[in-house]
Amino acid sequence: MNLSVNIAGVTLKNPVMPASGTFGNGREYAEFVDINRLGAVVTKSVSIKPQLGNPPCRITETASGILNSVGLQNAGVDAFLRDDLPFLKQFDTRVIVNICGHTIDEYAAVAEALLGTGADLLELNISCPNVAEGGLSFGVDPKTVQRVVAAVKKRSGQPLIVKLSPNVTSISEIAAAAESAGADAISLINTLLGMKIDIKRRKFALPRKVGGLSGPAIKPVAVRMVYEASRAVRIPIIGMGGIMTGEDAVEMMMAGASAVAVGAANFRKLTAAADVLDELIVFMNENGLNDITELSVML
Amino acid sequence: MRAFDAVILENAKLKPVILSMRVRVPQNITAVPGQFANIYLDRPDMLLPRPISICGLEGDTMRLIYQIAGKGTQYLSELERGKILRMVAPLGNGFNISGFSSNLADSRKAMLIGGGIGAPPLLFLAKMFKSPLAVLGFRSASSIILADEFLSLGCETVVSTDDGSLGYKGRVMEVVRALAPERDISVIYACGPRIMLGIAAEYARDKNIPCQVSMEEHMACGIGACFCCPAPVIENSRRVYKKVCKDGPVFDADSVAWEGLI
Ligand SMILES: Cc1cc2nc3c(=O)[nH]c(=O)nc-3n(C[C@H](O)[C@H](O)[C@H](O)COP(=O)(O)OP(=O)(O)OC[C@H]3O[C@@H](n4cnc5c(N)ncnc54)[C@H](O)[C@@H]3O)c2cc1C
Ligand SMILES: Cc1cc2nc3c(=O)[nH]c(=O)nc-3n(C[C@H](O)[C@H](O)[C@H](O)COP(=O)(O)O)c2cc1C
Ligand code: FES
Repeated sequence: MNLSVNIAGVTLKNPVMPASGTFGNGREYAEFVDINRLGAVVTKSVSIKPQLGNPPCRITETASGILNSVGLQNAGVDAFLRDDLPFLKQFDTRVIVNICGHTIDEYAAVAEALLGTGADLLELNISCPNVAEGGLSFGVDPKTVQRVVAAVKKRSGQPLIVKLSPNVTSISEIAAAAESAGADAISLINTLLGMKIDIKRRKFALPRKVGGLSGPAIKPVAVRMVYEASRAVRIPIIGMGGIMTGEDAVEMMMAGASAVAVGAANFRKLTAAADVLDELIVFMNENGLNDITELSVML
Repeated sequence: MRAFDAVILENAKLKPVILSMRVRVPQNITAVPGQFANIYLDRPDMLLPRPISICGLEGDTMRLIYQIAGKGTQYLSELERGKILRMVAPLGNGFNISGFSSNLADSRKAMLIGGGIGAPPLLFLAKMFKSPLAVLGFRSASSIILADEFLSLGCETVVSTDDGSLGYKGRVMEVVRALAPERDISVIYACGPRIMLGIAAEYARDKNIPCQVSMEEHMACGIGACFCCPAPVIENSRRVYKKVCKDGPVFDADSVAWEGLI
């Protein structure tokens, strides 16, 4: 059975990876999951300088979903290169480094700092709803998307995946903008902007009021957007949003994704990413599929 | 820290909204007081595990005491003996006892300060000391838990209620202030509402007594990967966010950046 997929010239031995920010930089999960089994590991967003993150509370549960407001806390690219990348490189998997910034120049600077390192692919997070400047503001306007993608492309070495926000009117337009500026692949969806009010305390559940919604609650939105984006671009798509099982992964791939990322499910079960892969293989066996790429033409 | 299936041996009400659960865990699980277990609910609508402090571990029997605080703990309270629970434990950094418990020549006492549902991990901790002083505060007589068990462990046990319906009347820290001058306290361990922890920390600083507090925060992964559970801590005179699930839940009271927290 062939499970391998090609993302922007890089071969992943299978299409399953954790979604950025839900798997740390692999170290903690490695106690529970065999990292060697995953098609890739996607890191937590890395910024040029250490980022403090948002005050508590940062996470709250909603019906079949979670709202988070982490605010991209991370130790910065220097610490990442020193402490985390060498750890991830021990495994037989691809390393996708997710990068973030407050300005176009900051994004490009992180990409530049990763030049010539063991990072196999970069993922550009222009879709985080949890920071005041940067993040989401770069991902909702096609012109800005083009500017940031082009600037990062110019200073980066590795193939570039651009991670899109669902908080837009036309995902096709944004996807096409990323492709036209040189994106080698796109990933979607990042979290949906949401809000929860604690009616007993008469307070917002999250002090920043809004947070990013993920989990099974957003899967239909994700499937729809992956489908629409796949019609708008020719570059490969990594699909995510509410994938909890192998069958969810199949659905996302039928919609047009070449690979899938597992996010909130990692909290519900620490082995979720590897479990999704196992279940995907069961599905292929049961349906007589020999090649994972057959899924994309099954619809 | 390991993932395993635990079998519910007992899930009994101590009070209308507080239950004592005993589960069978694998033989070789060990835990330090202050560490916690994450309980996975296996419900499609509730994705996050519920962190509960380990209240005791004897052989392969782990005890957890929890309050019905919302949907997840309500669901837990309805589970019956024999049901299997997915768990990950032990998690986090527990209370540091070394240097405080073993010195028999030291006649000073350890003081355990518990507020409400903060008492259970202190019961586990009490077993590590010779007759510590346990000061336990509750809302009213009807919400008192575990006081008898602290007593039978040999703790000098003082109970207070906010409404005076049993024991001393007043907040637990008022009782501590009233009692402690008569005692020679070597170390303070506190678990309870954040406001109580802050006052305990301030008290300990004034008296120059080492103090450890067990902090609570909403969590997602529980293993230190997602940064969802920040604890503001002063490190190298800078305010940073540590992880309650991994760097805590127990912190040195002095290291916590209390300002803005309480
Ligand atoms: C380290 C640690 C140890 C704990 N030990 C105990 C214990 O021994 N006994 C006990 O009764 N309770 C304990 N708690 C609190 C307990 O985790 C919450 O009461 C419980 O998660 C509430 O879940 P729920 O579904 O009933 O409530 P809901 O309000 O419906 O929960 C919604 C979400 O918020 C989270 N949440 C709500 N309240 C808290 C809280 N106070 N702390 C952390 N997360 C919360 C839940 O985990 C869940 O993800 C502890 C918390 C922490 C962090
Ligand atoms: C706690 C948490 C932290 C996240 N952090 C990041 C991040 O640092 N960078 C990023 O690009 N996406 C981040 N995401 C978004 C996820 O990678 C993913 O796009 C989203 O959660 C949808 O997938 P899911 O429904 O499977 O969780 C985060 C999501 C969660 C729940
Ligand atoms: S809950 Fe994930 S880091 Fe603490």
